[in-house]
Amino acid sequence: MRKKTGSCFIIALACALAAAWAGSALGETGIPVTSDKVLNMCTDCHKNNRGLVSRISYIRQSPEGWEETLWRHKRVRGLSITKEEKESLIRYFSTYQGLAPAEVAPYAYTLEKRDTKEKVDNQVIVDMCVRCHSYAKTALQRRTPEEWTKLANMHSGVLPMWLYQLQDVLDWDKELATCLAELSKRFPLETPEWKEWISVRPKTVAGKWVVSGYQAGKGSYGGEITLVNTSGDFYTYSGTVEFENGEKQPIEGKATLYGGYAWRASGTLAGKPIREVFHISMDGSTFKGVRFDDPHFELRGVETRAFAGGGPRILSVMPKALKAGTKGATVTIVGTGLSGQASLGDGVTVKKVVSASPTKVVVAVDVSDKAATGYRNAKAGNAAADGLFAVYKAIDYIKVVPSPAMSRTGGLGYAVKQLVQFDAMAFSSGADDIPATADDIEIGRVPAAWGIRELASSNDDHDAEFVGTIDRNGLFTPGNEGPNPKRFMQENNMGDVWITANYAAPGSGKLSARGYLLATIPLYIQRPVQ
Amino acid sequence: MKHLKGVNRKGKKIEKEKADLPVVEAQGSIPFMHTCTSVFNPGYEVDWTGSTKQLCTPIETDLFGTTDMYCWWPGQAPDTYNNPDWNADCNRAMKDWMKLKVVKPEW
Repeated sequence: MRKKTGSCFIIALACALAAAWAGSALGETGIPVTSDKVLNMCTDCHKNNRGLVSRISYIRQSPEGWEETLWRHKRVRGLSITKEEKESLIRYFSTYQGLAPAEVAPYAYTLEKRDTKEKVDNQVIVDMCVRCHSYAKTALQRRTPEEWTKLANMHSGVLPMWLYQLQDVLDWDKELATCLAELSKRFPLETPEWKEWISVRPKTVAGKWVVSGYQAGKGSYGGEITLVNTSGDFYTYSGTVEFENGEKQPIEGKATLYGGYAWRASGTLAGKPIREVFHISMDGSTFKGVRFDDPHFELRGVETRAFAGGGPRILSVMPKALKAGTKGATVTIVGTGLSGQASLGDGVTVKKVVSASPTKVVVAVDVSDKAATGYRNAKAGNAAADGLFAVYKAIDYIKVVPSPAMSRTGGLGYAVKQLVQFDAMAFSSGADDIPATADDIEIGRVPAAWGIRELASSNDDHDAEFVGTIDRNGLFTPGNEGPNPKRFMQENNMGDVWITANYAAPGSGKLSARGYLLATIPLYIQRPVQ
Repeated sequence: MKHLKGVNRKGKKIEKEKADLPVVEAQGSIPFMHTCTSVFNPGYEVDWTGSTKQLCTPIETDLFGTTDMYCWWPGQAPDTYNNPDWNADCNRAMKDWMKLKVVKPEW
């Protein structure tokens, strides 16, 4: 009898504990892990509460964010998985615990590795997060309030210097609490965008896509690529990129489509290695992102791709401006659903349709001497677009782009040099003849004579002699890393200089411009999300 | 600069540069580029004036002192707690700096 009572007590206790456990699981906000393979790989360490896995179920990130998490587990926690297993984990998490396209779009620049000067509208987040990371790194995460707190605690544990870096913060506890509350409010685990995305995923169609982009140092380009869905999330692609100077380059590669919209590819352009980071719109019609040289991510084409079978749409017009009085110019219109019935607005006469296909129309045009300065409505069949083509009277000024710019030394040890491709961009002052106003017209890149000039930040530092060289096409190559015995105090080949461009514009005389370059030292850690 | 006048050689040079230098806002505010740290005392790749002149010279003299487990710029240079091998082949940064690895995901 005593034995029977004891058994009943144990069973009752087990039931009570199970009910409490289930209750807590059902009441929590979290994303259950539904893959047995993922559960097998993660739950040796992470607690599995009926699919809600500790830490993991309360986070959403980009594919690169998940890669960074796994990389840290490999370095610090001894995670031992193969490259294929890592890829399958990233694909699972990007699909079920990824970010919606609308959540990624404002911060895609860091995934695309585009140097950007950020604006952050919250000083507490700047103090707590942006002293080391970009704001984009923070903004590309979604967590529950408890999970944001755990992230802060992790930082205190593995990077104790964090406390000293905030030496000017008077009340650390208060500042941290304010920051965590703000992060929880700005970047919660569940958002309307995410709910929409998981209910209706973008549908990417294999087949022919039209390319339109701009590459510093080369100019605008068009082209076509064909996507082939090899299996599941995997694609191959091949096609041709055609620059505005007529140069054609073959492009091909392999891609993984994370979460139905995050395209990450590696391949070749004219035989040289490239990588691609694109994000596909929710309607599945448009890729936006970059294609960059590997490992020189700074040499890139900023690109849009549209499904060739899509409706009438103009992606770009090359060249994007013509001078009044130009005769016999060739203009290329790139887009989808085009036809040879092309027009480029008042004062521009289409003399001849050189070629016409649904994705590219080439016409020969004359521009009247009296054509008014300004943007035109470009048309090719039923497709039309404003703001893509303009007529101007004269090149009034040039700008050095990008400015400010940043390069990094390298080349001798493991660090790869970070180059800068400058362009001298020509502008017209527009109809009002006043430069730097809203009606100015960007005409495009012009061939300039390039130079490096000293900037007066310090007496006799001779930065211009040491920071690097610039070639005839505006490509700046920084110096080698390491101390330089030829410089005062063995200063590295770093400094701040002016990059100058001089251009003899037809009819406008000599035009000059300068841009600011910070030539600095290598990054010794390159995170998936910097 | 409206109420200030350069009195020495450097001051006069800076006056000549006029106004198109990039402005780095107050300390801890906005980094130069999004990959830079905004800790400016000292900064890693840029100082609080937007230049490099107030960084350690050469940077190798300071690199180990500020990248051990109390890493001053953990977003830009590896800390040796999370990345114990990044400087394993480099006993003295001023001498062996070419052996400093660039830490990135490898599988």
